[in-house]
Amino acid sequence: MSIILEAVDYIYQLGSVHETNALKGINLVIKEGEFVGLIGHTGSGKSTLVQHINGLIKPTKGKVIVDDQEVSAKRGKLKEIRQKVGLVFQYPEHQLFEETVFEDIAFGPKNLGLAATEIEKRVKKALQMVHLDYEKYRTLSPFTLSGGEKRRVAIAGVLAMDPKYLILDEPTAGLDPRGRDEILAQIAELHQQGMTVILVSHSMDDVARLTKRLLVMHQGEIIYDQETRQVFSYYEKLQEMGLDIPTVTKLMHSLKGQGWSVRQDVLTVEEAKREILQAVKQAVKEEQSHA
Amino acid sequence: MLKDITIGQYIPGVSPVHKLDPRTKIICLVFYMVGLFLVNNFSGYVFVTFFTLLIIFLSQIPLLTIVKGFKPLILIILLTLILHVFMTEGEVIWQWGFLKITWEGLRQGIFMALRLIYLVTITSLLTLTTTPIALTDGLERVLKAFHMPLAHELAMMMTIALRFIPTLIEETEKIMKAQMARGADFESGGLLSRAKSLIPLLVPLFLSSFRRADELAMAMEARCYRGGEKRTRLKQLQMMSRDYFTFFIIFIFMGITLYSRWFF
Repeated sequence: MSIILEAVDYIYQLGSVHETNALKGINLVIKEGEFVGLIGHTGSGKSTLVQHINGLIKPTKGKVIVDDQEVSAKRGKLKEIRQKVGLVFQYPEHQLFEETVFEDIAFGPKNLGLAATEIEKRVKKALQMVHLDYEKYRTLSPFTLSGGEKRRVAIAGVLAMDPKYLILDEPTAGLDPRGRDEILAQIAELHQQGMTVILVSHSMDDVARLTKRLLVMHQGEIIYDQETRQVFSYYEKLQEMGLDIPTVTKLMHSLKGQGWSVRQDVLTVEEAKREILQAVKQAVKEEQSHA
Repeated sequence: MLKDITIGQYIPGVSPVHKLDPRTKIICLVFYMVGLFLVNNFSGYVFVTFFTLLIIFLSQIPLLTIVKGFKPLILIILLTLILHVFMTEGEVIWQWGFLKITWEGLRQGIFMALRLIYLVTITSLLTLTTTPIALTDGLERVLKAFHMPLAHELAMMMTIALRFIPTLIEETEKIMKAQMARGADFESGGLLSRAKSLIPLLVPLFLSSFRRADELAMAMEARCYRGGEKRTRLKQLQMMSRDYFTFFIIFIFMGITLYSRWFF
């Protein structure tokens, strides 16, 4: 079971003066249980790509297949696919509209036509997944919550659909560091519980910390589709595309440039610490042996 | 789908219409409208049609862009046409039960529909060829010339409204998609269930509009915006000979429409 994109092309405003080729020949397979990062400059086609996966946009050419069902078919079973592929948009809290947190999260399950008891169960579970207390929050108005809480309620609204695949478009944009860390930790947890996650992000640090596999998009094409560690070794190429590498990786690059013998494919602070300590120890040892 | 609305858009260009003073364009628009409503017979409409096509040609705006702007108004235009065709008394040319079409109704319906179409055409031509800033500037000066109180504030409100049409459309599409991702269905169902399905769209849309208004007011205040009193301009509007020539043309247009009404 997997998500498959075959030679997908998408052209915005076909046949008008504003015609733009947003996606060009996208081939992609995402297997169940993966945690995939997707990075790219603004306008590189990331959002367009992920909207293809749950049928919000249909490709101009090519095929999109989710679990053997063709999303791109003329009469695709969109409701089923949208249940299976949960898509959390940028600033998802802007879509909140109900009077209570409970009602808002129940919107998705209700659209699926579930029974009241099942809806309640789903809402409870979804709130639990984003670490909000059911009893405390369910009667509150979503508009009285803090920014981070609102976002978590909005994400819970998608989780309540019980998706198998979860796509998040910049889930941490505009949050304070603590809110960001909490959301990311919860996403990591969801993945550990078996959910397939696609994380669209501008933050190289977040992607480096969480994902195993990384897609890089540039002008509507997938340039790299490799292991995260491998992708971040193309420092110069990424910079040419207006992208960056994680802060720690950059640090290692500049240490290496100053003559320290450290590895450059480091992605996390922990790894960096180990690497630097080792380099310092080695340097001290060399000095002692000289003396 | 919503992106087809052209009202409020501006397409940069260097055509004679683009170059006109916004005041000229606004005043001539009013004259054109008066002329359009004066015309009431076939030859008059032929003349207005040619005149309108000439302006479109001069503006160098593709006809297709303008025609696309009718899309959201098709329903209103059709309704006008149908109501006139079936509701006007006169010489019956076709009848089926209580439904009947009359010559007078057909004529009246087509004329009214054309009026609406030309009205939309010429108004969208104004915004298509005039930058929002020039438009407000012109509007403000015109209103001031008629000693309208709060001219500046009114003009400012209009520009802001125009400026935010595309933004609102974009926002609508975004929220629609977000709710569709949660299984919302905007397309099927009866009238009532469809109206109800708009709530998840309208509530967030209103909220974001208020938020945007708040932010904009704050940003304007932060730059010491204080309304119209003693405000000076970076670019002063200047009437040129082409503006006077345009006035001359529009007076001829008015003359011909008047003539066609009473002498044909």
